[in-house]
Amino acid sequence: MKVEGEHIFKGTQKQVWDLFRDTEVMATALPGTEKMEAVGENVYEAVMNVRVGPVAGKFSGNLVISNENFPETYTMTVDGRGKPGFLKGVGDVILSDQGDGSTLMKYTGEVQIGGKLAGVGQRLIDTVSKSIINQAFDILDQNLVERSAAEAEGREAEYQGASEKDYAATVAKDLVGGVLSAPWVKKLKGK
Amino acid sequence: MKPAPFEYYAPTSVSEVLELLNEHGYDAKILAGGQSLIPMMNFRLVQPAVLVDINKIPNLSYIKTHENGIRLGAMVRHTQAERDSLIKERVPLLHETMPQIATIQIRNRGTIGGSLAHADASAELVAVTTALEARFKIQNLEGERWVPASEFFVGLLMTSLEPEDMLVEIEIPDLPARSGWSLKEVARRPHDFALIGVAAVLTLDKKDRCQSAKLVYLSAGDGPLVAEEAAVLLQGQKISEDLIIAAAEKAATEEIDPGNDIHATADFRRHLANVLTRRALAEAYQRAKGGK
Amino acid sequence: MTYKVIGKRVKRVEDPRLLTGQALFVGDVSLPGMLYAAFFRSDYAHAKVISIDISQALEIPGVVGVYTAEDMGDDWEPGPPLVSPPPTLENVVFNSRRQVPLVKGKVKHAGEIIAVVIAESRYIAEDAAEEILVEFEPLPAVVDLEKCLEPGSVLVHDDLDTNLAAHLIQNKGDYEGARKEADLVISRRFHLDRGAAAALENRGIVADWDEKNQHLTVWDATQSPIPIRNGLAARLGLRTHQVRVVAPFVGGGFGPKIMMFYAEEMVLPWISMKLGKPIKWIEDRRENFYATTQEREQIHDVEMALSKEGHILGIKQKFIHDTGAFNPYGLTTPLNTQSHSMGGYDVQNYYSDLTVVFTNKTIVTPVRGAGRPQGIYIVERMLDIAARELELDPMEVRRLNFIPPDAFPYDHEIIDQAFATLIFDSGNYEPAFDKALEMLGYEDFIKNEQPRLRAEGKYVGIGIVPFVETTGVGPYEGARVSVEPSGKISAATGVGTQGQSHMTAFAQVIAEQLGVEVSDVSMVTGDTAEFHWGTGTFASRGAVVAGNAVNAAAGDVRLKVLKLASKILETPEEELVLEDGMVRVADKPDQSISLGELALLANPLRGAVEPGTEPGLESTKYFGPAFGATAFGVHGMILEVDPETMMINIRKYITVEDCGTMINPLVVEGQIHGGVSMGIGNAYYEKLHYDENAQLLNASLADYLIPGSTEMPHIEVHHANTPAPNNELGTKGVGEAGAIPVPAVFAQALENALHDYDLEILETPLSPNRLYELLQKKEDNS
Repeated sequence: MKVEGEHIFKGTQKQVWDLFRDTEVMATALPGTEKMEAVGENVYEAVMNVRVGPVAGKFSGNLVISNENFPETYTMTVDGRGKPGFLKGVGDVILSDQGDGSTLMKYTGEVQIGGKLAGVGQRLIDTVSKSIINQAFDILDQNLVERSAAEAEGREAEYQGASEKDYAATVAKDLVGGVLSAPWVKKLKGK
Repeated sequence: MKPAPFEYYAPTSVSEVLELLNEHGYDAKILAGGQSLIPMMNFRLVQPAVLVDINKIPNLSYIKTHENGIRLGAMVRHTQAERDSLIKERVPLLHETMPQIATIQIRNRGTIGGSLAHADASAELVAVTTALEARFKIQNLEGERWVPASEFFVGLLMTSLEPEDMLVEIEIPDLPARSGWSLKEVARRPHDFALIGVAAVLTLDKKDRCQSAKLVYLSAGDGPLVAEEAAVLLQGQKISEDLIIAAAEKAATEEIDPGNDIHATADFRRHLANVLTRRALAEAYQRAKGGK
Repeated sequence: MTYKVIGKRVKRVEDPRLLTGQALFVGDVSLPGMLYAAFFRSDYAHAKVISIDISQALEIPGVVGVYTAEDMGDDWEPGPPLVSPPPTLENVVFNSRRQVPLVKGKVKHAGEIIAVVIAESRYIAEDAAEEILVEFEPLPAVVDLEKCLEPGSVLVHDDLDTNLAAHLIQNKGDYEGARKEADLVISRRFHLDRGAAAALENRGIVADWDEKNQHLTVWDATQSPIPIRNGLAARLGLRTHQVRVVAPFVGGGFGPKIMMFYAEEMVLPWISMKLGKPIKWIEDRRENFYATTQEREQIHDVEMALSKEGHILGIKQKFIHDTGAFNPYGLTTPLNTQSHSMGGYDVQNYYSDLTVVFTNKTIVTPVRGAGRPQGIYIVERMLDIAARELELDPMEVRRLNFIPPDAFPYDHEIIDQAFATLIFDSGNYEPAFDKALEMLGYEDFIKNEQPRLRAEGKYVGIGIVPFVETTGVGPYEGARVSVEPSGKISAATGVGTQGQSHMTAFAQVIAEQLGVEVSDVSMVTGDTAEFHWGTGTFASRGAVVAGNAVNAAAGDVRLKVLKLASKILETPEEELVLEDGMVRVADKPDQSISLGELALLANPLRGAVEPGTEPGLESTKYFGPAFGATAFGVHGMILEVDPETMMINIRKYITVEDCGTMINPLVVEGQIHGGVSMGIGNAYYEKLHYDENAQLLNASLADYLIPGSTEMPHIEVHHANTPAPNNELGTKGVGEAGAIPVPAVFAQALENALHDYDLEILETPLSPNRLYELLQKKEDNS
């Protein structure tokens, strides 16, 4: 399955670059992330508990960053497995300076999904992956703002994570064209 | 293809259900008609620790009038609704929808409440109740609340039902006079999930202008997808072929967000949405003019 | 020949049991102490197995054992080669690679078995299978039929330096010479995709080793119990009499249940012997999509040379056939494609270059039609295109090229699945074809109906396609028929029954010979304890090969009956008649003796049987044809397409079927109905979607679309009858016929309906989405 898209982040190339390399931030952006940690140079291990309504599945795997060309491009490789199947993705990320303090992120990649997920979950895969990506970007947006603010104020940043249902609400409303002020953002630390 | 182990309860009253839901929270799942839940459990994609079977609760399958509409108990089976004369008379869109849902075998067991709570974006009832501005009565141990369809469906297989909530009743208001309706869908086989579908409701004013329009799509995104801008195009206007074409074009190319899968590309789905919207609006308009 | 019982529309005697749920299927077998199996199958299509950890699975209460390839030790070996390439063919490259019981080293298609769990219930077994941890090293998958042959391609079998499974060329006449004479040469490329057989009943096995009796009983939903019995005995180091394989009622075979020696068939009897316990496994639908064989994927480059009058001067074809990860069934399927690529036409020059490739997909073996639909598709599509180019009536072009009735037996010159040069035994094509045109109202439709409907804005088209089906190949089948002292008849044959109405049809043959009621015949099929010589039910051969064996055995019993009755009634045999379960003296109905009394007399308890005679009224006979019986048929449809939604409605469907003598027209019609439904699936609904990793994307009946009653048109069947000259009953097979021409008919009708769009359909199946894309491309080009 091909995935591609773009998103504008309100931050400089360097800020966005750093954001994506911060495991704490990344863990907040993906729903159900139980664990994400660096296990080596540019190699991360993660455990995710993905839920879509009543459908749930635990995946564990790793994420590798390669072909780094700071602060413009890098390649991300994801490899995960769980009882419902496996997924493997390779994607190229391009960050370009928009000249107005914002950064355009473009991504193109191939995601391979296999096993039960692919065999019997076909009709949901596209919509689910779209939802997860959209949600991740929205949270990253928020966290980028928080990160910059904290930096400016010289305090520690408090990152926000997604709850499963609230994220869905956002995505659903995004789809019908409504713009929403992120009610899904819950304080991670409060959980 | 056997489900993972689970505890099974078959309470005989709503209050017992609520107690169980309260106790088990996210681990519990209500079993109504089981037409979606059981296959998913057999695939082990869903593994509830506790199954609360509500089939033994009496008095949840009524269909009655209530003020300016009808109310259905959550356990009304599809077949019951399909054959019900009150629904035929008062909610003709729902009456027309029922035979388009799945197979007779599934309709014999599947429940209206179950389908709505499951919130599959391809489910006809999800789109149709949204188009008809239905309301849902939800109970938990603390009391009850009514939630409009527009707030009930929140995402893919997700509703505003909390783990301790139970959907007990559905209210569908009567359409205003001079309203017309239509449900059009394309499915590979009649009982398959539709590649795309649209429920249209049009109300005309005395001068035959469009007083209000509602277009709700199924299989077009994460949930029931309301084409608001297309409705705006129609509003206050005299319905013409050109206007219908423009509204269909708007909804199909700009508003819906269908996915790709092995049965249809997003591109083909948009094309079909365009075709079906034209057909649905034309039919709804004819019916509205007919005064039904 | 006039028959009393053969050819009658006798209601199926097996139906009361089937319809009331009283028939035994493997799923109904329940034995004391029975254990249940579940399999851990690979999600990956191509991956190295690094390690297998079964410790957590073993800890689950109720788990009896977990087995991997390592546990099998020296008993681990690939399945037997089932069909080798015809020794009659020259210059054949054939690399044999067979499926394994449990994966060792490398997974070669998704669904291959890594481990087996045996537990007290299927539920527990599945719970435990989820707890098995396997470390894989995923490898790129071999998927594409052409790319897999490029240098440097990933290999399915590392011990081969290629993905080439086979290559051969068959040649008849001189195509290049014919091409030079041609007025028109057309060439096209065709893509034919994969489908599943999707029998209603999945596979199932109960294996029961009885230690004290030293005897293994296996209930197996197979089409071929005898070869399975023989193979199991050989693999397990047993004598054949120590193994009984029973194929009870089986809910549909369609090819994949032929003697495959599936992994499960090899492993479960082995484990039953280890544990001394009965073990049961019923395949679930998801397993079926990965582990049960499939068919149809081919890519063809075809050239056809014609005269301007429409005579086919020659056909040249180069095609690739996907055999999946293994090729236990040899070349049967693509050879059938070759033998059907000239259809029922007299083509003197044919050159066919066949390449078979290994891919990381589920194994390919014959599925109802078995290579024939592909051959018919390409030749019929080419004729439609040629007729358009030559501005000729497509039906006239067909008529012009038919093998004429006086050319039979017709030497086809191509070697087919029977290993011998194919000979079409008989046929009379044109009258059957004309009948089909008449039934569908072809002339009127083209002249009046279609223009009228077009004026109304309706896109309605017509398609008519003739086809041949080679049926009834050897090697042989046998049957035993005996008269019981009760006067009832017991009979047995080796072929198994998967819905073909053998219990009724064979009983009719016996009833005809012995003058008894059909209901007096008890027919056992598919139980090696009852009859243990034969091959199985496949290749549309039951009625031909087993049918004639039954006829021969019953005929021999008839002779014995007459001989004995003649002695007792003191009347010459010629004056005796068999009717109502009695032997009567013609014209003297009071002088008679019942079959039961004769049976008792033929098996005395005292006294001596004459030397050189056999006791009882029983006979076992075999039938083995030198070559098969070639059936013919014509299918036609009228369909309507909505060019906006691409949805299709088949308004009318007709068939003319010539399968020689019919034992029971009801049964023939049932076979045609079933075949057409499969064909409609192959034409429009059924496609197995594999992605670039050889992952199957529609492994459930929600996404793999099988036409059901709501999709099926009413089918009008007409029977033509050109009896087969080389078997006594005159029967030809019909089991696969219905499925063969449908995609070609569908494509022709759809093109005809969309005449305005000038569409050319070169692929099957064709989904609405794909049709939309083709029409979009047309629009973009114009």
